[in-house]
Amino acid sequence: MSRPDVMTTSILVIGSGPGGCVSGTLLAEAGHDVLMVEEGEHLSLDAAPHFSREEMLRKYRNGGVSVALGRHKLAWVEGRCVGGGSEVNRGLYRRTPDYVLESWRKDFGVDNIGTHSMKAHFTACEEIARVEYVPGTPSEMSQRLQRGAQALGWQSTEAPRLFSYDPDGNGGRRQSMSETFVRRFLQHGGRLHARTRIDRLRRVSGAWIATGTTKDAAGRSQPIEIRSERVFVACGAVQTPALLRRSGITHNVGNSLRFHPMVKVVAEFDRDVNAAGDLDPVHQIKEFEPSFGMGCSISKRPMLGVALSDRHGAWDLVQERSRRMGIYYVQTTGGSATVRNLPGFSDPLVRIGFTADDLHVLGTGLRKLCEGLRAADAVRVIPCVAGYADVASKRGVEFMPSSLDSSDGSVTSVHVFSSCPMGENERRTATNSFGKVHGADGLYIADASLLCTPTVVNPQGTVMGVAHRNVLDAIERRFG
Amino acid sequence: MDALVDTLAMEVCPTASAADRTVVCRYVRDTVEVMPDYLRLGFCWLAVMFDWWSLPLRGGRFHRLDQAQRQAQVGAWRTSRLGFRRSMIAFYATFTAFGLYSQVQDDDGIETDKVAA
Ligand SMILES: Cc1cc2nc3c(=O)[nH]c(=O)nc-3n(C[C@H](O)[C@H](O)[C@H](O)COP(=O)(O)OP(=O)(O)OC[C@H]3O[C@@H](n4cnc5c(N)ncnc54)[C@H](O)[C@@H]3O)c2cc1C
Repeated sequence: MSRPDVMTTSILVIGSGPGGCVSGTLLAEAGHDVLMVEEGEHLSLDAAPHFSREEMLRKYRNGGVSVALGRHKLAWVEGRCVGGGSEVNRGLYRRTPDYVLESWRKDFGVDNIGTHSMKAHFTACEEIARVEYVPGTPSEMSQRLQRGAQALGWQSTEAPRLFSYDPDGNGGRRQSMSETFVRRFLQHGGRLHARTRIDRLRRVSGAWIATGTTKDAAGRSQPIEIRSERVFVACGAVQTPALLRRSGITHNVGNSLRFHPMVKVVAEFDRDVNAAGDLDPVHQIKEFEPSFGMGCSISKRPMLGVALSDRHGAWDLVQERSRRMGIYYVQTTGGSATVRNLPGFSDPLVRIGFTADDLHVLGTGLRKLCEGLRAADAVRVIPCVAGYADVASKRGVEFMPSSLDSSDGSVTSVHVFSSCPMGENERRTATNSFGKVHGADGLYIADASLLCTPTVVNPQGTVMGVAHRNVLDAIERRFG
Repeated sequence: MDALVDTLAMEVCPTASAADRTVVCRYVRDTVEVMPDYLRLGFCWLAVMFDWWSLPLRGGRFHRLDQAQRQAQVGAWRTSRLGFRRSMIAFYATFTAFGLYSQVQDDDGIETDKVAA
């Protein structure tokens, strides 16, 4: 192996997702010497069509293949490029509900957290990465969900997005990190190294030494060593605990990974709801939160094809009726997982378990979703769960199992968090209330790992708000 | 592995052209190449096992069988009592379907042939 490239910086930020970008930008703005490294490539939003094969291969971790194993399974996806998950997600935006922050305060001892104290942090992030509502009427597929909710007297909402809509409502641009915070970070003198993965951290003579590899455009690897006074780890909720554990930091690290487990259905309507070029759907049903929430998924033909891949004749069905179909989901907060490194392998193993109650909530949520879509005049609802029959009548809902069997791969997630919770309750947490790792000088966590529990709502707003809050605190205290 | 993806692609859309199926095979191969390393190792073993499984039963390795025999073997693994066999077929079926629909039925046509895969 060749000799490592050696670099020095005052502050190293590892990972450039929403947590890393918000932290890095504020640190650079405060005049610090900041180097942000990112394992994936630095690509523009337009480098690959959204939700395409090319995007999966270039911007997702492991090509979009991540599976939590155990008696039950859960498949999830994460971004792996400059901007992390914000580059591949839809940017549906919700601030953290009050009751979630309150439970963090009560159960994990997080100091000074609440809707009031978080407001300024949310607002500041929303000014940089703009959050907007659809200017005109949302897509028909989206409105269908709302109509179903209204017919049943359920509470629903139109979620805004991290998106800058064109005034005519015909398009716009996602407000991903590469479009917003990364630019600001660079403008303020921050240095960004993409294709650079950190494998280990160690403390030597009062400084942190990060070792890993960097790749050139042709994919050739070169070892690197970065020396810094302070490190902000923001590799996302799975890779952060993996990196810390490889580095010997294990106290409450990687023991409590959580997801928003999700099950999908395809609803077929008697008229078109899903035209090419429609804006992404935005309605969500809030009635059953915090137990479960419901919403609309991207319903392009490849997604419909995958959702219906168990069905005989799916190809013709999609060919003929994709415009009348939409994919909808129900998502809960159940299940808990661990993150562990396996000797000889670089990808961490995630093991998940669901309680009977978790599976019951998923089963109940799935029934309610079918009920809501039937109330929205869906002629039939097709659960994307092996062995489940189509629901084409009220009785069909009654026949659905009350509990879900998650061993067949039907449970997925796009939200991961809580693997290194923050707070003063050292029995449950990996860091203090502001992300400083217990017992480690100059080491901070700055991503979704810190969120003590699932957010119930879309999490990116919380990841950004918490990172904003924590890094301002660190700057104010001069990292003391 | 290519033979399995090709068989699954024919199952999804019997009229898919050989050229389209080749692109899908490459896409799935690329995905397997970047999947988590410990899973990849398991999948490589499974692929070998899957290929040889038909030898005592059908007199040839999977990639040498005709389409009907291949489909029979895929069907047997899909409904096997062993979870790892079902999971393997489910994995390949999902990515084959995604690859094929993206190739042939994309809504706006912009993705077709985009992936040099
Ligand atoms: C498909 C999809 C859809 C989603 N939809 C929404 C939505 O609509 N609304 C919402 O609020 N949220 C959504 N999310 C979730 C949201 O994107 C995440 O909550 C958010 O990105 C988490 O930010 P993070 O900073 O914790 O980590 P990430 O965004 O995961 O970023 C971590 C970064 O660190 C890098 N990294 C990891 N390890 C290393 C290492 N060792 N060295 C160097 N770099 C490393 C990774 O490559 C990655 O780029 C979605 C996510 C996905 C994947």
